[in-house]
Amino acid sequence: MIRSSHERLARVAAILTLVALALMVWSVLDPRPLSTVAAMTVGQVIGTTSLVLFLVVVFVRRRP
Amino acid sequence: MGFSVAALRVLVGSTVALAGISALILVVFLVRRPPLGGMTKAWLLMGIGVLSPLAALAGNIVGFEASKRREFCGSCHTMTPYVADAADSGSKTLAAFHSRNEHQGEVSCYVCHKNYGLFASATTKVRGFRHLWAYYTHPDRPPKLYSPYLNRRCTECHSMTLPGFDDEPEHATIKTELRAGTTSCVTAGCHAPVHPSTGGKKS
Repeated sequence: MIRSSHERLARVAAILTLVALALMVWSVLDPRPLSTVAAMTVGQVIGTTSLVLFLVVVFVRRRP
Repeated sequence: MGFSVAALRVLVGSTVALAGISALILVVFLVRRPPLGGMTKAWLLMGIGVLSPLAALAGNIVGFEASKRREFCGSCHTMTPYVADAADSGSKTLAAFHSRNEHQGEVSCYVCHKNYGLFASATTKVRGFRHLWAYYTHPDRPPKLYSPYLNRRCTECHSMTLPGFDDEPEHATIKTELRAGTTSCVTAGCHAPVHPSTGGKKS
């Protein structure tokens, strides 16, 4: 059960990272105000959230 | 000033490459659904914790540099007359004169409108959010300054303390007001018109 929830969290982290990366690539290939602001605000928040989720998966699982 | 075009191209390429490799790792993880063992975590660490932050870093640098460029400001249609005037080699407005200056050139909007001080870049970007919000919520409203234009933005380059400054009779008579900022450098009759909307005419 716990293992399954960790795997689900890891998958959510992977999907969020993909969304953040898509925003970042959009902003560098089409650097207009909306894409740039989206990448540097929403993209950063999503990317940071995914990293936190991944760290939770790694460190919570390491605890005895 | 800032990054060269070649350096920015390298950063754009780096962002896309790093994002692509990271995405590949993550898509493989999502499709194959391997157990969360040590090797899987190591790959995820590479995809989520190393490559994507590096892509974000490179992308942010590109974003910061792109947002300084005149064409970036001109991508909102309300700015079209300002940007067109700045690029007009025959225009006599202050903005056009400064845009012909090699030091400002393609980043002339940013150089003259950025804030001043240690956190100038950050506060200028935050103010940019307000512009963006105003543009999308009131797209037909003409742009306006949210606060009076400060003389110190001019004096970053045009010092008031150089000997020649007081040699100009117009400067000498109001130098106290100019230095205090109570009289603007771009007052009508002085260094105006700045933009076409403030009365700029082609000669």
